[in-house]
Amino acid sequence: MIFVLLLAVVHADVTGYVSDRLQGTGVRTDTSLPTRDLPKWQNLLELNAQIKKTLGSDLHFAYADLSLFSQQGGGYITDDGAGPHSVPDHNVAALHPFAVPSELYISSTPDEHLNLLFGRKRIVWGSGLAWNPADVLNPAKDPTDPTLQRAGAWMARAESVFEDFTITALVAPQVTEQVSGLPTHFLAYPSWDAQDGHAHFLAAARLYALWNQTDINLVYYFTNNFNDDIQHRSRVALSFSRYFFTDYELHAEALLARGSTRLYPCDNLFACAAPFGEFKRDDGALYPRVLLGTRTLFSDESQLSIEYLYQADGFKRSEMATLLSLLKRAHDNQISIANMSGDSSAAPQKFSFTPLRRHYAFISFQRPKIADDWTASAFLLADLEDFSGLATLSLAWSATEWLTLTAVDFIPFPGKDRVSEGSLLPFDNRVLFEARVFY
Amino acid sequence: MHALLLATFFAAPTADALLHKYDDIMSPATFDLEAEMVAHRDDGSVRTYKMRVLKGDGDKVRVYFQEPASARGQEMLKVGDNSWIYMPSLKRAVRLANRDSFMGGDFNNADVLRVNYEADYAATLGDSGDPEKLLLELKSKSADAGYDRIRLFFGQKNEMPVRAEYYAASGKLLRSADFAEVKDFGGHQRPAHIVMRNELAVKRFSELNTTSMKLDIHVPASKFALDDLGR
Repeated sequence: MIFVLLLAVVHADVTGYVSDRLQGTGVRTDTSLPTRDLPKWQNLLELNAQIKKTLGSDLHFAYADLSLFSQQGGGYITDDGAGPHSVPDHNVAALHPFAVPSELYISSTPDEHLNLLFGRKRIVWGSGLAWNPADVLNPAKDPTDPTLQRAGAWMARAESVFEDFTITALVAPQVTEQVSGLPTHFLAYPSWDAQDGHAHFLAAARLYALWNQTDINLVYYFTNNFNDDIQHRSRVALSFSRYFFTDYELHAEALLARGSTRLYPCDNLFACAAPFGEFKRDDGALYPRVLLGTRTLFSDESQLSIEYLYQADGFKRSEMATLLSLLKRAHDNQISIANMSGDSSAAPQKFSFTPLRRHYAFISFQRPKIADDWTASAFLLADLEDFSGLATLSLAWSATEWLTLTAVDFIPFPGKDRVSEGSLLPFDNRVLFEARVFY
Repeated sequence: MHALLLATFFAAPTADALLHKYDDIMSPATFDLEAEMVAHRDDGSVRTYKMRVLKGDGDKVRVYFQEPASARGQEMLKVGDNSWIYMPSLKRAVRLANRDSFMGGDFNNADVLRVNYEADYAATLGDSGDPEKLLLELKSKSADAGYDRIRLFFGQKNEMPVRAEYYAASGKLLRSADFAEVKDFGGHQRPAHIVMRNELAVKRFSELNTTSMKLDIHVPASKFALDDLGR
């Protein structure tokens, strides 16, 4: 296998990086979520290679964006009712080494206006920067660092590209089984793990148009048990991006769907079969998810981005209170979390975000060249209903053309309510240092 | 009759003709060039970027960044007044403004991606104060132009650009460029070395060296489509 890979690399364009990320977390045990598997300190080493090999001519090529992750963690603390106490270091599944082929595909352009692609690729049609509510295809990104998540979906895609418009059709089978991040089964569950007999896939058709200096995307999704248990579900997505008044970029994206596959807490456990259920799955109501944003660059090259996210299917205050109450009851190991992405085929995030409520704001400010190679950044993620959320401050130093050092401080804030979304975060501070060497 | 012809032959070019010539020299109809940008920073250190620039018919430019490793795979695309940058780390392209800094150096995007001054500026001849130089005063015609005003200096004899001064609407001098080392690229002569100075941070400047250039190439129109970025 390695020999084949080495052979493939010969005469290929290879780039990538080695990244070492060391983080310390001030773990909180007074949240509703278990902390038994959440290490106080953690080191993550990533070896990344991005390989592009042309196949005969520039019109045909194979591409791979591969990462190997090795993780170590330690220092565990929990509170199972007897007060906070240490837990001996133990085996945590989320910290096992794993591989992520973020992208792995063959691209062929048999005609000037036709491109065919087979394999795994991250395709982002939405215009949102911190978050893409219209993206139902890819693993979710980390809003505090959107560059971190590069993993895509497995697919077969045909795309017809013209100067001012593009037509795309794709089919994406869901990965049903995988080992250490590498897929072993697609579309249906194998007989030895027959969770259901359905075909799990997504099909999409998309029209892109460059019209009046505006990027416009119109997407139709058809899903069948794709990352949920819904058959024959249609969704429509829209996005646009344009500059106004010379320096102000304005963008929007929206996803329209009937019913919601979100898990809602049951507010009367005596009447429900389970504490959580897809109670709005088949109610026929329209639940739009909309993101509006703007971005501008100041004369000193500072950049400000402000985005607002609305989710019609987000929890109301009463539903949030019920959720927190249920989580409190389920505290003792019934719900497992770690500071990893929920998708084990995706890259580990610095911060995993699952928006539960209806209104959010994402604000980022970046000031490059505070000294020659130093960039300061601040990011704010806020639940606009309880004003809880997360702030991050970071400082990056491009010490050389091939080495970047970054320090980030994650600071959650609980907001105005005792029961807030921010109060779910199982840490009161997280500090992270990263060294990234490019080659 | 002969005197009239001679007078016409040796007459100074019109402003529009000189502007047209500048665009022809700096941005021929189609080309494929390799260039190196060296950014000199306040502390005296440098950053070097290598890139390939493709220009197609009309106002279409695509830039592929080849070095350093941290920028490899990044691409920029310009179609008319639209600009995007493709970031491999984001796996997507985002829109850019013409006035954004080009790769953090002292050129802005319009300096590199949009050399179509005839479309963006109205030209008048000015007094250079030097008999060896011609001066072209440019005033922006639209808000999308990279600068409010530009003073372009040309050699009197060869009508090659030798210097440019770029001004904000306030009248402040933002940048200046010196053009040098006129080279022949397959019959096309143009300055191969441009030094752009940031007049607001005088220690900083960037050099743009054209190392090779092919003209009159055919590039499929789909190479200048947003969805082709990253391929």
